[in-house]
Amino acid sequence: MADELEALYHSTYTSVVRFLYRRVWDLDRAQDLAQEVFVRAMAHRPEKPRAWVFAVAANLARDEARAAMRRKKHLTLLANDPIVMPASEPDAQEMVEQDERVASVHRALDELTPRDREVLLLWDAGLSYPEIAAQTDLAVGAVGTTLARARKRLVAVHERLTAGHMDDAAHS
Amino acid sequence: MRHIPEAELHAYLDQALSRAQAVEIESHLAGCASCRAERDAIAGLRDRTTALLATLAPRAPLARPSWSELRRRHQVETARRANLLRGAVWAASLIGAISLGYSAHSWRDAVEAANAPPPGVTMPIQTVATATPPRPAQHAPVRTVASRRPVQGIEVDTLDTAPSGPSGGVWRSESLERALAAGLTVPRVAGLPVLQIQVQEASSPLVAVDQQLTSGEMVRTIEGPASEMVLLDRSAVASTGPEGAGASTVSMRSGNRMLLMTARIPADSLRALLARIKTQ
Repeated sequence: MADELEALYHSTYTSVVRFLYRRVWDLDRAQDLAQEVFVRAMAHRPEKPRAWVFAVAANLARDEARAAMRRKKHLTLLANDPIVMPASEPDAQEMVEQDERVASVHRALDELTPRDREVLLLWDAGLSYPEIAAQTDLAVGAVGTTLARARKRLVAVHERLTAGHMDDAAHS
Repeated sequence: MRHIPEAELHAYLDQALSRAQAVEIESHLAGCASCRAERDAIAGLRDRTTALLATLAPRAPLARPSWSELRRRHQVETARRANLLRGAVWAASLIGAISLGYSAHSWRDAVEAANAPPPGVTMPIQTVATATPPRPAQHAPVRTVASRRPVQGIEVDTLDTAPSGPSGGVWRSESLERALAAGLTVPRVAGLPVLQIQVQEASSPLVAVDQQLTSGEMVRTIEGPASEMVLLDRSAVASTGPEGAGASTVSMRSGNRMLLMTARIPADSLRALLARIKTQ
């Protein structure tokens, strides 16, 4: 049991952090929460540890988002943050472009419905259809439908955002 | 011929279908150019989504604590929850240590002390010890009061500001009932009135209990993790009087737990009291 959890920790810690990071947008916080998930797993000894770990991670992320909403700090888009650009940094331009890419994906993801977003992120974190279904109360057959919608919407919104951005750049 | 629904193509590409379902779809695809085109479009969409989400990966390197570090955290949390149980284990180990670790002399003291005088009879604890002559009455003016109720006017130092340094937490007062309800180990001498209980949160809590002897003297018992106890400021330990003058201190360790008692009474008497300690 303990060995199984430890193996799971080594194989999925990164996925769990990435999953959480895309929900809370704070790497330190995402790591704290991911570690909390595994500490809880040790106490809880779930039967299906992998699904359990992501279910708890999703719950923690939801609680976190609610708390952040209350603090009115949520959805501070990266695009609105001043970008610190050291003059001597040769990769500065590349970094700016990278930041803008991230910001547009971030915003596109935010435009999905909460359920579509969760299903997409769980899929991306490596969960199977049955695992996603169990966690989101969807029928297994509905996972494909949800993923189809989420993927289309993410790509469409992202294209709209980056097209708009290129127009802005052309006008300035 | 019916075409394959979009969601099913997603599920097919995600390898979420049974072998039979996949075979069915593949046989349809073999004869349907329109569904093949749709499949390719969805495969592209799928790859694009994965690529977009990949840009959202945290760029800073991850801090991944070792599994043993997480285990340790888990153990600390479990220990907190199992405070009651730990108290029982501690009491058992304490009894073992006392019966092994002290001389027959101390043990006799303990027996005498345990056979405490009935209420109403003055029997200061000092008389138990023969090594130290009784101190002048003015040091303990309430000594002649034969009462088990707390004596009015007795000095009780609060520990609020005393400890400092690495363990410099804040002491808070607790009632006995609340401390016990919270599952804290409350080390105390059975049968003596408790004047106050103070708690400091550390890696596991430190608990300080002040009690009054029939002589009027105050005895302070502190129990906690040894690593925290050794960092305690002297004044937290020996604050039973001005600079703790004349105070004796006895302490014992059991694993990482430490128990310390201090009072302005001879060390032998204190050891006798230690034998009567209750941690539950």
